Amino acid sequence: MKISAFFSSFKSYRLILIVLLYVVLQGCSTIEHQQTVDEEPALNTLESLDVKSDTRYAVDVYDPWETMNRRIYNFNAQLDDYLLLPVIDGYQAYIPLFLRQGIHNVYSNLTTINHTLNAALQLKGKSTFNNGMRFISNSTMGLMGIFDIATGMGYPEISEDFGQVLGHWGASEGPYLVLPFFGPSNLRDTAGLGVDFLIAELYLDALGMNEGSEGWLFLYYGLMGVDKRANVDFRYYDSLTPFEYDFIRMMYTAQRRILIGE
Amino acid sequence: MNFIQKIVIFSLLIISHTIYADYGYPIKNPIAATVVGTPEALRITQADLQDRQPDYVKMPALNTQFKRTIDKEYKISIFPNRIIPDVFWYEKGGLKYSIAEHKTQAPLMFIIAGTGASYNSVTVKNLQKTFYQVGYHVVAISSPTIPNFMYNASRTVIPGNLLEDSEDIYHVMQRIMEKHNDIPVSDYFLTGYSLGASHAAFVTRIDDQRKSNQKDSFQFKKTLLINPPLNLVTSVDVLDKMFEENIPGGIDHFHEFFERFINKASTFYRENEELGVGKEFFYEILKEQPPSEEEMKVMIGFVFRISSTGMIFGADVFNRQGYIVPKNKVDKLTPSSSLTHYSKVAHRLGFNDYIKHFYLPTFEKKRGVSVEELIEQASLESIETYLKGNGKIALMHNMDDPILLPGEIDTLKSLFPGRTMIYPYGGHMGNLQYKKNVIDMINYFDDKKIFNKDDVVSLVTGEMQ
Repeated sequence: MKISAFFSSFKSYRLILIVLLYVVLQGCSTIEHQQTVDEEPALNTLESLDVKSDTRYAVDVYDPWETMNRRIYNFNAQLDDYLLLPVIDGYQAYIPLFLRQGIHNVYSNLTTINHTLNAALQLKGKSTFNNGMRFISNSTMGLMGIFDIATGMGYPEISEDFGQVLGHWGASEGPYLVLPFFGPSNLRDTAGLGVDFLIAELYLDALGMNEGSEGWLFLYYGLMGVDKRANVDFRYYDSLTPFEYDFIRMMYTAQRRILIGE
Repeated sequence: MNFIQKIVIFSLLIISHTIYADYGYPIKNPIAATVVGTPEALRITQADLQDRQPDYVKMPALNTQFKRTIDKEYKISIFPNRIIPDVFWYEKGGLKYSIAEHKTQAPLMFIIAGTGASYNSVTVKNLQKTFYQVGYHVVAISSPTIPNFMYNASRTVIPGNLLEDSEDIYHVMQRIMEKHNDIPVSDYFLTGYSLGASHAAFVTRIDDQRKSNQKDSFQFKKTLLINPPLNLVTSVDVLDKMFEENIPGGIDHFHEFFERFINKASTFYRENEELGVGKEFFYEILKEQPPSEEEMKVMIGFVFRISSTGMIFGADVFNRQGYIVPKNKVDKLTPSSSLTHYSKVAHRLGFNDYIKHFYLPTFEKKRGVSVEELIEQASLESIETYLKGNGKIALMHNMDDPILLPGEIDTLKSLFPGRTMIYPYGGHMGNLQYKKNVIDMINYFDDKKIFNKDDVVSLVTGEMQ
């Protein structure tokens, strides 16, 4: 695949993302420049509660772009409410389960290519073999991935993304980052996500989907997003704590550290 | 090893040898019962209730379908002119609740959620589905302790006063029924669990006091209180201490505790792409890897603390008490302000700190009532005469509920003479999904229940296998 082809096929996406980021960042620049001194401190502070100054906190995550991140987080929440969840409601109401399952399986099967490659790049023998066998069996006997027969054969889905590869070879996570659409991430995992998309471009190219109109790709990625969202049971601001952002940041970071074995 | 096997093994580990012959709930450690709940194989199923299902009820085959097709979510605006602070922008849409309604005339059940739980919590959904299946319209209402209720339906936005919070709930119930006046209701019923059970008792009383005006009251046929605290203040203290006193090295070392604990989640994370969030997730981790009793206590306390910090922060921001947010900073909070600092402070404060240093002083000033009186009002004993003389309110509880102090279960029982269903095990609501408990609940509302004179419920008339 030519690099130019990659960029042209991604043009529309990039444009949307850039516009969104601009809107979000624009908002950020207008606030939080005032640094007032507390005229009257709160009744309870860490000092008044005698908390030692060297205490470590589970909620502390390196987040220098927090204001922007929180804005994108809230943007995602509204995107969910006004677009994604209504679309998913319709998707679940009008598309029968077996079809949705088939769609999910096809995407999951293609992503297994990423999983296999990323497992190999982390020198994970077992996971590479598992994912490789999974891809082969589902692509053949599973009729191009429509059916997931591999799980029953003992090759379950083991997700390996390129962020993990970067982590495995020593890249540190960098600042926490909330991405529009995708949600919680960090600098390293965002780079990894980009590479995973590049890998996907390679096999989409091989499947001939990058030729001709962009319509195919929109359908491909659009449906992929719907399928992904439909399979995650998360609802924004449903955790009943006003500290949800902190909580998710803490959990995401902990999860990635576990997966990467840091 | 699959999930069920793990549960079974875990359960076997903690089963003690003293087994009550007539009550088969298997987890005899109250802390473990609270955390694990009912092992899957012993939970009530749709098939179990087939013979109790009226003809007009059509149940969908899948749980997810129930949520999507039958259980409908709504929002209602109780105080349309109230200004909700920007930092709580996501609560601006109104009070959320849900209704599962039948097309035909049927009895209606209100369910009030427990501390920190919403109309959407797993416990409420399970009860809702059960009562729907046996023929009730079911209206699920959040606890007045969660920000969505506080901001949209609480007059003071300072939760903790059983009477006033219950008045708010009662008002919400009336408004909901006004809005959904096309639901054909034969009779009204009410239930609640944990703190929601305390509210249910007060709500029934409020309704009785209005009975003279028949049009305005529900005239509840029956009310069931499931695992209520005797006194909110003492139970809150127990839960606060569970968190604070069981972390090795004290609360300053929560970070290390969390790291050790979260590593137990590694299996969960490798098998699930999903990011675990919220209280349910912590319980999932605990189920995966049997923890020590201390760890379980910390996690029960932590889940409770997540609830209380949200409540405290919400009350403080709205009322500008300067409790954790400096008064001059409240207006500067925007939807994108960092709250991490406040979260750290809030997690240091217990529910009890809030009661003692926020709720009690504010209410003492506002209502001119002494602190001692307010603490008494936090107890079901404050309406002792009413409860003792009211034949339509019953109590379902467990002998080993860890939120009760020794002896409190006996006081509770004395408030409902001849109207109790007390089980030997189950911890705090661990047995809520257990077959016998669910059937006992249904029987109670169905007038099939024969209460036992003994301390502990033994056999129910013919219904149980």
